[in-house]
Amino acid sequence: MTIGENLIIAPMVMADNDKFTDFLEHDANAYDLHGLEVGDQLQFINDDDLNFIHRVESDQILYHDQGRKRAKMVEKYLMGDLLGEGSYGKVKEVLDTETLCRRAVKILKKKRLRRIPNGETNVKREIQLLKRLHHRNIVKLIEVLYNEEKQKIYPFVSYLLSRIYCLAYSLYRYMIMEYCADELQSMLESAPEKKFPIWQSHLYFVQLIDGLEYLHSNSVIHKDIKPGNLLVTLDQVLKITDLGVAEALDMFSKDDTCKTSQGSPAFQPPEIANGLETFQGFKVDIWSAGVTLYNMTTGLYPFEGENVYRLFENIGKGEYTIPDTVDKMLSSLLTEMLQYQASKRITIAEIKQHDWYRKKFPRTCDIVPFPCHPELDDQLRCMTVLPYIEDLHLGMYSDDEEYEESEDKLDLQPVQHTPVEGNGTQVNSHKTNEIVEETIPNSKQKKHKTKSSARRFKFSACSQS
Amino acid sequence: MIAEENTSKVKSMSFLNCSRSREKVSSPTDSPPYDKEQYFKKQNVSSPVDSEHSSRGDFPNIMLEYGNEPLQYDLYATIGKGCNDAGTISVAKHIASGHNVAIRQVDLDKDLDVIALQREIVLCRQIHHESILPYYTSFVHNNEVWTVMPLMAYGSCRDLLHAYFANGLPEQAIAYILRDILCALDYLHGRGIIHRGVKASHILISAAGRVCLSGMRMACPLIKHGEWKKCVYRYPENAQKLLCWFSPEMLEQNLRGYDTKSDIYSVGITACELANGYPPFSDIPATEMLLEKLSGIMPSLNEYTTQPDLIPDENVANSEDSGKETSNTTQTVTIKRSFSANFHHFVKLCLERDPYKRPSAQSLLSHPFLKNLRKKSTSVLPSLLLPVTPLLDASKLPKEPVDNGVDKAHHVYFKR
Repeated sequence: MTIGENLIIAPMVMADNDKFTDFLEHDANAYDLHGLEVGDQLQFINDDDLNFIHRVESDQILYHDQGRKRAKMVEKYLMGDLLGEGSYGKVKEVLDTETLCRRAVKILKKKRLRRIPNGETNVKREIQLLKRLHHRNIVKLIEVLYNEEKQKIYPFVSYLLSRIYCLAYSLYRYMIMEYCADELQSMLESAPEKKFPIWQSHLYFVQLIDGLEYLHSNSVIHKDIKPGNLLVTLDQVLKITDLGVAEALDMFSKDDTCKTSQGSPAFQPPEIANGLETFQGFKVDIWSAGVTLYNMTTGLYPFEGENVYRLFENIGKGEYTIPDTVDKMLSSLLTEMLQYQASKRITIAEIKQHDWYRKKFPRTCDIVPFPCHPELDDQLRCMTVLPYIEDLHLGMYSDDEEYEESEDKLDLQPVQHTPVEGNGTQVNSHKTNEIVEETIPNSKQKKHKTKSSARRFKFSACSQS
Repeated sequence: MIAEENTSKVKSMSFLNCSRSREKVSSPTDSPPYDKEQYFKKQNVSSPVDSEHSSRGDFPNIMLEYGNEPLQYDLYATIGKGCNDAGTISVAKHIASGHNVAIRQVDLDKDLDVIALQREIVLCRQIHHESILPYYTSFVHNNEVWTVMPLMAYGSCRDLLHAYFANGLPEQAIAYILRDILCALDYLHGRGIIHRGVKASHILISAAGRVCLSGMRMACPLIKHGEWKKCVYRYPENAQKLLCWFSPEMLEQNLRGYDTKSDIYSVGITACELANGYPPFSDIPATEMLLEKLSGIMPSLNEYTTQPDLIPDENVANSEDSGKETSNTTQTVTIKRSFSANFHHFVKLCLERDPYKRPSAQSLLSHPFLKNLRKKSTSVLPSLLLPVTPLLDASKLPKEPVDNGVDKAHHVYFKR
């Protein structure tokens, strides 16, 4: 039987799939690269009973794939579920299999970085900076791994027709970081009125200033301070992250003059909104920290606008109001941090002398907790690597790459995105309800699975004791 | 039930007697497998009774002033390693007083957590308990931190397991050891300190039979900024060697955190280690251990049976309903080793998956397994640990120049 005939069978499975053309393209790609191998795979199918070729509903296909979590190791790290996704790539939970310490990994793909302006330079700079920065309030970079790996791209049909795959080579860069429970942004979004109680804001703000002071003392300007770039660990330690657009001042530079900024618009100071040629770098971070504080305590932004131009126009005017609910001490700090003129803006040292900074706030009301994953019903931020360990030790784990999960699967299968990939673990709260509903049964199914495995364990325990 | 308990105790005593009789027959070659580790064994011991130690009192030299000069000490053989292998522990003599001490030299150039070391030394200065290893003094010499401490002549319980009790210590000895360790933990827990490093190699026994807990380097305070926290979350990142003893909630690293009950779990694992001769989970990969611990698998004491293939099932049954099972199994002739129902129950309580169900150190002290121990361990342990005898006279050991490397000489010092 020739390859061509196989191709004719394949579409029958996908009868009602409008992404058929996609499939064909991928498949063709596969033949180009490894024609023979694929041919062998197909041969195996033909030996099978051909009755299996019938119409299959797509949700059944989903089910088929979700039942298993394939263990994947990158050196000593075992990959867990997705924690979040940024413009640069995915962030996954990993487990250091030697120390059993939870970590997070930022997976950067070279191909993808090339598409982003300044992508590669930003990442290189971030790695360089993080390697030399060590502070309680700066996210710790444990190590960076490079991996040129053979990567599977599963065409859609592969779920049925054995595993037809193509191989592509791409360079991955894994940044192993310390594990944090969540980012401030998603905590704020889950909070009532999207703000923290005053004592909690104070708790984070003090740490933010500590972290910034350290960065500035090391001649580093972060330039992108915002709740989305502030992580919180399990024990409420704030970690400044994402130094992708940060700038390290030259060792011999006289002052903190900067020329470029790529930070988030809503947190930019007037001097950048107005497009000044040069500006004082440290004061940019002070302003952004001020906006962050404003946001944490009020749930609002001092400047808004329906688009970036309007926003910059408003920031450029420098007019904002502080709600009446904000007490006098805090509003004085905010006004000084959001000072229009950079030279008059408060410095870190002055902030540390400010009454509001120095005040002790009693825990008057409950802490805003880490938001609960809607799909997982996990309020404790439990390890997500457990099913993968199970696969590693009890499943049919093999180094055979056939089973390896492809990073690109998501990109190539637009039909069945999110639920397939993360197995219902996507962190970003921008999810639609639809997806949530879809994934709930899966989590139940998963629970069931762990239970049954626990029973299996009884036996293994016996044998080892 | 009580009668049963008594018989089982007698049983374990008789086991001990066996070992004593074995002592007579055993030749140096058939003595238990020695570990390659630096366990101090001395051949040709003439008279172990030394004038200083004849009183068998607790650290007779505790009131002495120990100087901070390396020249004030004569270093002898290396007897162990510490601080993740960055430190070597040697027997030494305090020249001025002629007392034996142990000195730990930690090489600061090696990869180790200096801050943890610093914290350990500060903490050890603040705590005083008869079952916690005191540090007389510590100082910096060249690139090393020296810590002077009393010589624990029996070495650690791990050493004992290596030296003679490859199949585990006698139950009575374990009871005394665990009682003292729980006293130490009760003291620490009352001060808001989680030890986090309870294991056989951190339990040291002095020549007189005094049991001391060491390994304070892993300790973690519950009190932070003057506030007594309910739990802590920090996971020790460089503790690969301790993973077997870590509690499930500690390994879990989630928002539930862990507290002093975590130490109780480690006590449970240590109990198994002392009884079985090796810690549970030590034969499987760390990740699998994690999985088993989190799914609530409870290791248990090994009881020898005729059919090794059936051990697993019986063991589970034993740990669940130990009373019945032990009484049944003790009747079969081929059993080499069994433990009392109380001991089984004790271990089961310690290894409870849910920390809230785990008793505190205080309440474990009144557990039937430990309740009836009336004597001081100093008066009981040395005889329980026979044929192993402590290292008593350091001056008979080969002298070691201060700057030289580790002497590889092993010294068997069984009294025969």
